[in-house]
Amino acid sequence: MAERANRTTPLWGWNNNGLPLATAAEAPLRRLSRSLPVVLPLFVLAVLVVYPVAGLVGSSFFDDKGLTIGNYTQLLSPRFFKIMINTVTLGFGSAFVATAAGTIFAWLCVCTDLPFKRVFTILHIAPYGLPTIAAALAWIFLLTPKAGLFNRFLMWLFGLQSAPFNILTMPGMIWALAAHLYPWAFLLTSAAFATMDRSLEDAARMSGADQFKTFRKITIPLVAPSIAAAFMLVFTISIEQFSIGGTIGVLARIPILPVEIYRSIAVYPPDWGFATTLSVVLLLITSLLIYGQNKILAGKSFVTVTGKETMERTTLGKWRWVAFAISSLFVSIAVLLPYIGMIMVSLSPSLGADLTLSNFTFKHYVYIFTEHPFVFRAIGNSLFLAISAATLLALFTLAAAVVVKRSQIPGRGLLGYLTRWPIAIPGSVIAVSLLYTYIRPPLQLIGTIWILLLAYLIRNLPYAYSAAYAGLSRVDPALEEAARIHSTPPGRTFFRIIVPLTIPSVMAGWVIVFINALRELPASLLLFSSGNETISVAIYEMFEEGAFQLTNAAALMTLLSLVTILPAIIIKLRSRESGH
Amino acid sequence: MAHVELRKLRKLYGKTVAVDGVDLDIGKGEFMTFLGPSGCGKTTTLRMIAGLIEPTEGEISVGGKLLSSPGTKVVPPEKRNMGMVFQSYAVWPHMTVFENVAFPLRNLKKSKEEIGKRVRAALELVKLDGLEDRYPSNLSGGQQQRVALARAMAIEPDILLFDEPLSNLDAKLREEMRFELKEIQRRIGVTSIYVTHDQAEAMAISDRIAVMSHGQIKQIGKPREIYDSPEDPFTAEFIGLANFFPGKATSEKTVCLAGREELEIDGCRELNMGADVILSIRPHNIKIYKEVNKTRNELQGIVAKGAYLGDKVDYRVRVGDSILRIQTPPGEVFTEGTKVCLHLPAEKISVISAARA
Repeated sequence: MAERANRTTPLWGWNNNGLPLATAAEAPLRRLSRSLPVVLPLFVLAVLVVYPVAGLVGSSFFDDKGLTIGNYTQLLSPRFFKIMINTVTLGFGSAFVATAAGTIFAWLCVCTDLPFKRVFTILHIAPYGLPTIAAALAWIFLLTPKAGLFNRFLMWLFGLQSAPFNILTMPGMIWALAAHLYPWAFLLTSAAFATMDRSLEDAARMSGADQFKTFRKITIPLVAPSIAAAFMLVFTISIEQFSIGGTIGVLARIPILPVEIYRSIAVYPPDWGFATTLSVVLLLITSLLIYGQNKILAGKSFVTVTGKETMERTTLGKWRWVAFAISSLFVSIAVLLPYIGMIMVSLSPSLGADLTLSNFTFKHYVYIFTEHPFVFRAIGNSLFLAISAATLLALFTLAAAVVVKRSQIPGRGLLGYLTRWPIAIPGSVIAVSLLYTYIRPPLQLIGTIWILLLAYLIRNLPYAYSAAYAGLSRVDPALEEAARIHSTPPGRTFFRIIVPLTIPSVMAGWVIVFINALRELPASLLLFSSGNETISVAIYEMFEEGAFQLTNAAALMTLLSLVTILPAIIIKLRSRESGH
Repeated sequence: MAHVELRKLRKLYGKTVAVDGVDLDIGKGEFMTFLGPSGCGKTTTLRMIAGLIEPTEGEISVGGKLLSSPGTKVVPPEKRNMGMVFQSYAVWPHMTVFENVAFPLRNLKKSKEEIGKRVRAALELVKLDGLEDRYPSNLSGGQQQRVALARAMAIEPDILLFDEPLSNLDAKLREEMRFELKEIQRRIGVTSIYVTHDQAEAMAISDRIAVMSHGQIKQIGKPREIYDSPEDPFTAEFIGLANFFPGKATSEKTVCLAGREELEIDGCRELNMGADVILSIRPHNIKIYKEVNKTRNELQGIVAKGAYLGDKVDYRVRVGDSILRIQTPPGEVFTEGTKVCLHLPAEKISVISAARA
């Protein structure tokens, strides 16, 4: 490997026509054409990503009269203070609960003899397959104080006088988010537990430490970086997500950053100054979190020589069935209940009606396709957007990965960095940036479907890229070198050698982008226009229209989840097993 | 009484038999090696002695104390007072060298001075003094393995266990470490059990070797015995190179081969007349001549292939229907197709068990 890394000539492409390597004396034109594989995508990213976001940050320092810091003085208001407190509380709380749950269940599923652990593994990943907007509305169906299905069930079961839970509170929001996001922590820490050399624990046992001390002194410190990274990841997703804050948060009157960004623009009269300022603040926080997470994972020096796989694991003994009971209870409530609630509501005659075997109905499914003004159109739009975004990104990111990983062209590092950068840009911030950039000629894309496509492309760039990069990492460069030795042109090498060999990973990336795009909400809400609605916009509009539409929303959510759940679980399970 | 006693030890994983009835006595201070290919059950046996795996059946006792027996509570690994060195070193990356070696001593609640003294002594023994404050990520593989060794020895264990400790090291370092390990073991005189698939390593380091295959011990003996007189085809083939040929015993000291030639043998085993046997001889023990010497144990053959290897020549010689492999020092070179005469010295032929149907 070291030998490959030290190579200074490009491994394939761009100079295999027998020309000498680049020298200082070389004609500038040829030098430019040689670096085109880096310059061209850099240019594309500069226009698509850097320009709008830089424009947004810049515009936050202007108002109608010119340069100002007036927008930022609004941040001193009690309203902003309240928003920040809410956002951080929600992020911290849900990250804490999700990371704790994710870590414990990952340990149980990877390291112990928990019964049925393969089933549990799938169930722990399953929330990932439920669109966040569906999870949010499902918890509203289940746990509102009066009408909540689960509340009423518990009151009946235990003969309670009042509802035990209220989702329309900060703890309620924390729970809804944590139950939805703990799969991320589960997957990250599973990977850490699975790759940890088990003889490190054996060595502790042989050194006189019992099982509990080994867990405390060896296991936990070794996976600590991954736990910290998981915490920061869930924190990031929690504070940039819109679906829970835009539904439960709105009903509970708990404003959070991304929702306030949306409302500053969507509620008349729009307050652009406040929207851009909030966007910059949110961008700053998520950037810091992502930076911190990368630092932790990169500085993880606990890479160990992996010994051989041993068959025996931590035996739980008499705790085995206790762990089983706890896992079952948690999975039933956090994972299965939202699905059950959503499906039950979609089959009920009306919201709040008791569902019985005799009164269930498919009328809401019929309604959304026959009577609703734009659901049919929205499905078409969503599919078009998801397929286009996934396909364009698969091609672009694979080519970018090849340039970054295999070429020696200067600037490739920047290309890799820019491709990963949007992971730190929340959906609502992307939307505000695009609104700012493409509202006037020459690129007046607002009001067309292309602005949505652009938002999806930017948002999903990092996911597609990391899939392509992972796929390429598993291809021996010698396979490309062999093609080069046999005088294969670069384009042919790309399509005949690299694409076929990386197709499994690239397909996985395609599916992830497809799912993400199908259920994207925050950017879509700000960028859609009449005729260009998407499925998740349709669901959110139904929510805003009021209770009478919620049964129809449940029907649409059920259909959407049916499409996303299986691919989501399969992709995540696969990536967990291949360990990336 | 032997220091370590294994009685009818068995381990099943579902229906797969990993260890199939191992009986073994290991003396105090002895260096015993389990040698065999991967999957032969050697590591599983070692881990059962360590307490990291619970046996399905059988008993383990050390120093007369029963550690594991069906129906009784198995003594957990942390209570067995053993030290173990792992293939992957298993040096804890979040602790310094000092902390790594001190960890087992702290578990024994030793005083601070005693811990300091013992850690220094252990590190000195493995020649790592001065590196106490380093983290393992700043050490080479060889140094990490020395830390692991120091850690295993620091508590003065009753038994030291080695699970292929050298196989992650490069070839040159591996050979150096062999002698060092042996030297350290001799100096502290601790009973040691060592697992490896490398026969040269086993030969160099062990007092006795237990050759294992398919979960069973095939032969136990001193390195020389195992090499010179293998008692079973697996041992003969696994350790060094060997030629095998079937025959029928015609007397207590003679065997008739398929081609009717009669060979005299001078092994320790007496043969039963008429029994089917398998004979084995190592390639370097066969002498090859151009001319017929008319001595006993001579076979005629034709050179099928020859390869010059620098320090020796490797021949395949056709004798009747079978091919024998012969290695001789490079002297006279025989080209392919040459008629040659082979001498199989009686004392170099091993009789390894009756042929199995």
